Amino acid sequence: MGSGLSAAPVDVAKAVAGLAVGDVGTYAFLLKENAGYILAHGGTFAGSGLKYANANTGGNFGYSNVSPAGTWRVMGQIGYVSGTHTYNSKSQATSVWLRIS
Amino acid sequence: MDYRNAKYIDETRIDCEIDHPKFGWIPYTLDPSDTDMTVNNVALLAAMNAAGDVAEYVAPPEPEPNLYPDMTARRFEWLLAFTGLGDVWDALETQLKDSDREAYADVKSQRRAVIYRFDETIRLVAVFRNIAKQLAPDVDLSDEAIQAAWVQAVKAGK
Repeated sequence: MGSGLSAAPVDVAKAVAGLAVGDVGTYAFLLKENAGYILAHGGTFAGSGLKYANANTGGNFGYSNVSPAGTWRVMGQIGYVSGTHTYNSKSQATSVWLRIS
Repeated sequence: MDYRNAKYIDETRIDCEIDHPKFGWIPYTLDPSDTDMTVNNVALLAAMNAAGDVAEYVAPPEPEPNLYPDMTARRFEWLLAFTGLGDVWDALETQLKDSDREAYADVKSQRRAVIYRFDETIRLVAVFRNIAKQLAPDVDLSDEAIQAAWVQAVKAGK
């Protein structure tokens, strides 16, 4: 089955490597602040509600104040449910995101 | 590209929904500094400007100041000394020392805290209010009095 792509793998790899941070098709590790709910994998969100983060967001020092543009799809999950409680503190609100638009 | 529900989220960026050819209506942040032009931001912004239907930016309200921030031990001692509550505390310790060893230990150890929290202090006063009133009937130990003293100590900045 043809995919319609004709570029050689090495050319695709070079093209991906040439993308700028925050471009469509790139991944980023982002914090969804004040989620207040569970966002399952595949959910989409506007970039303004996200911030570039590290993996240590339990305090107030684990993310920057910079938000990306566009539309992002969460490729992991934001928050989780245990029993009847929903947990969505900052340490549970980071994930890998893919810019789709 | 069709859009809806556009609103400024600061001086330059606009949140909206766009009718994406593949994903349908999805949330989107239009940032004039965006280097990606998969969505033609220039054309989208021009369409919005022509339609004049982008809601104005509304700055979030200033957060209310915390009137009762955590207090250092030194500032808490100032509060106790200034209000006379320190004498009540001392008398309470003396009273409890012989009558209730566990309560005595609680009260004494509380006086050695590094940081004092308003809610915790109010709770502690409530527990021992009746005994303290017997020891110092003229001292106001109401929540309102504690609140006022706390604010005063914070303002004093000792």
